Amino acid sequence: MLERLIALLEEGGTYRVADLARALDTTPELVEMMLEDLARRGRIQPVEPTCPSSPTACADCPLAGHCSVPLRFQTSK
Amino acid sequence: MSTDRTVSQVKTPSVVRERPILVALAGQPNVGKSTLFNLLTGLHQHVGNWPGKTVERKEGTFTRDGTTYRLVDLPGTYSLTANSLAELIAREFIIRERPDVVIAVVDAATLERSLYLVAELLPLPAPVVVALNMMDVAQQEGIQVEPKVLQAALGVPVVPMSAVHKIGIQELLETVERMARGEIPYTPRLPQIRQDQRQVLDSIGERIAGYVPSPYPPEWVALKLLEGDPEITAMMRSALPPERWDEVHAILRAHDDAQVAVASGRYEWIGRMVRAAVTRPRAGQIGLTERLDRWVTHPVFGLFILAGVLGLVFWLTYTVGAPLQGLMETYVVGTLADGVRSLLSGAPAWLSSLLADGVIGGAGAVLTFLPILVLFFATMAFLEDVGYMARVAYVMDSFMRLIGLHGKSFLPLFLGFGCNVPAVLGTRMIESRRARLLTILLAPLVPCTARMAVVVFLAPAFFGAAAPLVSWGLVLLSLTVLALTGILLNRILFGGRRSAFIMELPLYHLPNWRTIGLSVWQRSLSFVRKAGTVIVVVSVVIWLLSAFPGGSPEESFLALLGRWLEPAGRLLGLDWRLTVALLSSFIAKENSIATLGVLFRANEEGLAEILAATYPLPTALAFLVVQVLFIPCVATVGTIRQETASWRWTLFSVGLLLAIAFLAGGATFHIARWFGSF
Repeated sequence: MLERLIALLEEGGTYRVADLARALDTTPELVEMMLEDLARRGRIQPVEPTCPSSPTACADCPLAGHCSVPLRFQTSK
Repeated sequence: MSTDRTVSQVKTPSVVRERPILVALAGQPNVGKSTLFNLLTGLHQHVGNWPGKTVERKEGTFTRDGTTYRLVDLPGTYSLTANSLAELIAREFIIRERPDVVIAVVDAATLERSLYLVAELLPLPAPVVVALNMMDVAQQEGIQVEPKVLQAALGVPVVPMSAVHKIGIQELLETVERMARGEIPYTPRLPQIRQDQRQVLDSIGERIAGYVPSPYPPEWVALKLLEGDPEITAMMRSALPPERWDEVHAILRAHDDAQVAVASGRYEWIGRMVRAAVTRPRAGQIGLTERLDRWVTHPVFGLFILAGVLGLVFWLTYTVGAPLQGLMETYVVGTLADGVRSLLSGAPAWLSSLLADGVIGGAGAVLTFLPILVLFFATMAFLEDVGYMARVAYVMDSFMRLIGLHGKSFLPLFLGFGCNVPAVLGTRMIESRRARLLTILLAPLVPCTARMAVVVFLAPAFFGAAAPLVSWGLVLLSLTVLALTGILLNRILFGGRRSAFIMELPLYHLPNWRTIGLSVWQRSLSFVRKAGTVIVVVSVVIWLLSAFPGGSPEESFLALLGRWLEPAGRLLGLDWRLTVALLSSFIAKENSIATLGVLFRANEEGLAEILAATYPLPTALAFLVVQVLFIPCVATVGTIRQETASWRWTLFSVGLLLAIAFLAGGATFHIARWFGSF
């Protein structure tokens, strides 16, 4: 199942855990576990949900503090 | 589950067995393992450290019906790899001490997570009894776990219980005792691996046979070698003759995907167990979110809904905001300018003109669309707070994948709707230089708040009731140009590889008005600060250039510059004033309005009315098209230089956007004029 998840992620794109669970015919909880497993193996990286800009650029940015998008993981390449 | 027998009924034994039954308590953290341990051992427990380790070791004894039990609480672990000390201690204890029974405490409410450890316990040389704890919590959450079905699927005894409520303890102890006495047949169903990997496993097993140090089970050692377990690998490297190790090592190197295959087998196994024994509810709120998301996040319908939502935002902004903007123009800016003039009636004419025409006419004109922006910010903050903006990100990404853009680019591009500066900075998250460069080049094509502010101000003046449609069309045009440019540049610069993202969409919920209010306040304040600093300075500079040397804008330095550039502007239907307004937007996008305010001395009557009376619709449309596609503000260009570390790419970006704006503006003007001639 982990291999099928890796194959799915290699196709690229954006997924919700529920999308992956449906595609793999399993539960979101198990997908969560597999994603954490892949993150431990370095196959995917956790995404910090913070504005990536510098403090100086954020000072006048109308988006400061509002620019987080709920990304959790991304593939490394 | 029985509720009438609890551990308090455990009697003091009259006859004590010679050798106590050794029981190991295994489980992940927070599954109630410690509660069960304390419940069974009471005061008869000893806390120390595992030999040579700083990890706490808890051990205790208790007796039941004359039988003494020695209970060892293993460290809480999620698996039995060699990656953590706790996991190493747990597996070494089971292998070396060979407990009579291992109680695997699992959480019935999160069975998947608990079962991974069980999958690793089953191949070890000790019988396992599964204590299905927290059945009460699972029931409260509407999760139905069938212990008998799980038992049949696992092939080991499963006892439902609740350690907190002391339910099922006697049944557990009875099962443990019967298991220890060999009265229960033990036929665990182990996780399987792919057939090709199975052959590799057998091949390793054959080569290590006879060399595995006691008491390690050879099959388990072969599996751990296949998994790349560092402890077992080191052990077998020492135990095997060098030439035999080289053979094993060569097999392992040729099958480095086996690590994933072994884990994959365990996940398949967990999936089967859960499918067989667990039924989950579809709760009301989650159901509503899922139902809505079927449409809102649909790759096609989601885009239509997004277009509709954006259209609604613009419509609302204009319907309510435009009249307020008119009132601000008449009663605030007009009154203020008149007041300054009458106050400075005795002062030099240039000072009165500087303040009334330069500062108030320029920065004041920009400030008049504060009500429109407040409404725009409020609707965006509302959408963000109810959970829709996260869906925008999701839908936008699907859209970009359809046109072949790099998936990783969507986050910074999405930020661009607020401001292009963080969009360019946000590309730092992209490791690939080519992908990052492509995203930087595309980021200025996302219509930022400042560009939209200009559109929001000018569209109603020129197009009246059709303003929302025009604004919506301009956003669509920007995104279409972005997509086409992306496809083109992607083919040239980018190899077409795509990243995957996993994102969490929050549940839809009722808005928190305080959060929305704070957001609107912060964004509006930031806009007012900008109007009070950069735009005031630019307004004064524009006034100076428009007032000297001749005294009237028509004979000014600015007119000279504008007229010099006018031949290019004429191709797009723009006169020198609109050309200068575009140039001034390089400092900050809102300066387009401020500049036109100064050039038309707009405080005496509304700028919107003057512009509507001055320019025909093809010119107005071409100006708006150029405005949304024109080179970004100086802050964004500076950031592009900083992030690309290259003047060449910065100039390429500026040139690319100039060309796009010029071509699109020219096409718009001529097509609109052609239509207008009918």
